[in-house]
Amino acid sequence: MELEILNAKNSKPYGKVKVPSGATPIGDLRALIHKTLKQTPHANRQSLRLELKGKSLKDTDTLESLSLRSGDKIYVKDLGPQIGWKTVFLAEYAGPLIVYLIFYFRPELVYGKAASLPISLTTHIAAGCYTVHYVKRLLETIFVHRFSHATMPLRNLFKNCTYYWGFTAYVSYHVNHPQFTSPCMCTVWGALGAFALCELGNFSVHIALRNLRPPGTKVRKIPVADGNPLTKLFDLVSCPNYTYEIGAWVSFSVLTSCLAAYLFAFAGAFQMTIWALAKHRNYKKEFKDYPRQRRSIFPFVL
Amino acid sequence: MANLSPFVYWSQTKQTLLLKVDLKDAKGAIADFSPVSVNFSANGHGARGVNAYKFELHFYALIDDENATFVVSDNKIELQIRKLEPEWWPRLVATPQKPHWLKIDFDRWRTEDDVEVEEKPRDVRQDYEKEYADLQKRELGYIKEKTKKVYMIFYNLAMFVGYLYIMVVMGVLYYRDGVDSIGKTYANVGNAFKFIQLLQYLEVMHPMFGYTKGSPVVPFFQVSGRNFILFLMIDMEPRMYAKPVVFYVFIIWSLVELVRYPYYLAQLLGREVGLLTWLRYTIWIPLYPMGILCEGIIVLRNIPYIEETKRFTVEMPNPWNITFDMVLFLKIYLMLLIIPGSYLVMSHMAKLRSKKLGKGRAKRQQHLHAD
Repeated sequence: MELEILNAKNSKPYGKVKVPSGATPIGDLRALIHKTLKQTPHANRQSLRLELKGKSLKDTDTLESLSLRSGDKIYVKDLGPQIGWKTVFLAEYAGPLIVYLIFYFRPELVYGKAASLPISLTTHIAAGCYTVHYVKRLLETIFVHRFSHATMPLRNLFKNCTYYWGFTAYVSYHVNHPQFTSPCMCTVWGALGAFALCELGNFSVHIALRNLRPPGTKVRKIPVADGNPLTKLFDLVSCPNYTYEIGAWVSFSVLTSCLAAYLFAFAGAFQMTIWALAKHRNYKKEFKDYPRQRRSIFPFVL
Repeated sequence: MANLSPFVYWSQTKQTLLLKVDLKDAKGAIADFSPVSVNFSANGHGARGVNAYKFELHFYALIDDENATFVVSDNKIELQIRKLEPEWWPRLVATPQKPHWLKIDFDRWRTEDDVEVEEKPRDVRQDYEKEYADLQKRELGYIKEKTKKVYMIFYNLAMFVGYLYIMVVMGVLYYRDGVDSIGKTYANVGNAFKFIQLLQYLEVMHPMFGYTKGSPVVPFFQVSGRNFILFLMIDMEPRMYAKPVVFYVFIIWSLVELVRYPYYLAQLLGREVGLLTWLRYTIWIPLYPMGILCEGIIVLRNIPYIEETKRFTVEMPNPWNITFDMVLFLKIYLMLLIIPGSYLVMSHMAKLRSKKLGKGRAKRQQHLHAD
């Protein structure tokens, strides 16, 4: 089979590619295109589509399933410089650890002479919570998560790091401020308990999602609760990992009584709600027997 | 040998043109695009056998010549062109007479009806606007104007009168009292200016309710930017009232509006006033830089006052453990206003200007070609 390869930007032809068989998946085709036609973008930068402005083809589709024949056209769009997902996640989560602890150690440069005032117990607890959260995220990135795409645009690295590091600096400056006002200790301990519960819940859901699909397979299944009682939230929402995440940040905000932390919780909740609604919609489209009582992210509400 | 022209089949959408050149096994294809024309030549198998073919077309309106492309296939050559302004063309060429070798590509042909049926239901009163107006005139004795249009006419007229009042008051007082009136500007017209600036938030609501096209975000930031200066930087700091910069910023803001509202009125009434159009898209060239400069000076003058009064500033300790440093905010605001802010606004206006005023020039050029 021979396919004609064109540039999606201006419809200029790159040339022709000989494909060994119709069973070739798109992922392999991308590598073959770059190998055969050197002027095309590297495989990771290619987005293949059948029409000039069509949808990007999935790596797992085969040429047969797309009804491609000899002489058909494939358009290649250059996605720009790419970076590994894992690299991005490690960078965006390691930064908050470092940034938070910078303020925690009360540099005189930031706080002036008041830097030597004693640090309250609540501030210590908050630092512990923050550290635990981001260490957990780093470890999950290394050992738990699997990524359906290997790479993402380089621009995302700067966007994501700006968001995470910037908000961390904002929250950290206020929580570690010498004139920090702690809420009453019963609020602090209660919020700490809620925070711990949500962190454990989030972790449990991530483990359950990982175990949903054994390594190397592509089978899609409806996520359900496993033996861990914290995963029961799957019965109520499609994305309990996001629900627990939001719960953790709200708890942290209550614990510190810090408006900046509430803003961060709200911003994160807004973004995760969008993702959850999209994922919920995809689940319902993909699985005909998807449980009807489930909501996207907030039980009984949304 | 005389120039041979290949058969060319054309079709369009609102945004694009597609020309299909009927040549097989074409070689050496060259297409030179300009904003008003295309020159094409190639060797291939066409209506007169294997020969050198060429053609030149002068388009009905402007195209995006920089991004025009062509694709050579075994049995045809396709020229893919984007119109500079998305609109349906009644014909491809500038002149009413078309070359005999130019034909319609019926396989791809689309018209406005094809698109609009998909888009929205038709309004018979708009489709037959003239007939509908005549009918109203016969039945009622007068034409009943749309409520939206009437409202917009009165809105633009009222705003024009408001800004005219401000300018006249400032002018008369300047004429009578001379330089002394500059220090009293805010006392004389400050209240009127506050009133009319708040009214401008209606321009944020107009696109929200479909009275005008476009997004509500742009007018929101424009009006809020001005009101930030007027209410937070001037009104709330009495020591600013007598500063001469207030006089200048009021003049600049008013002059912009005294051109903008009559322009909108002319549009609504269906009358094109050349001078008004030119002013609308040119007066910003001196006024926007001066306006940005004055606004910057006002912010700069406020910084020591706010350092002293701590207005808008939040300090710890407080139960919400939050801080807000108004002085730092103003410094950042100044940085963003001067460089990126002014660049964005003025490049946007420059684009509009070349679109509105450049059009006539290109059309005249086009007519010269036709002659």
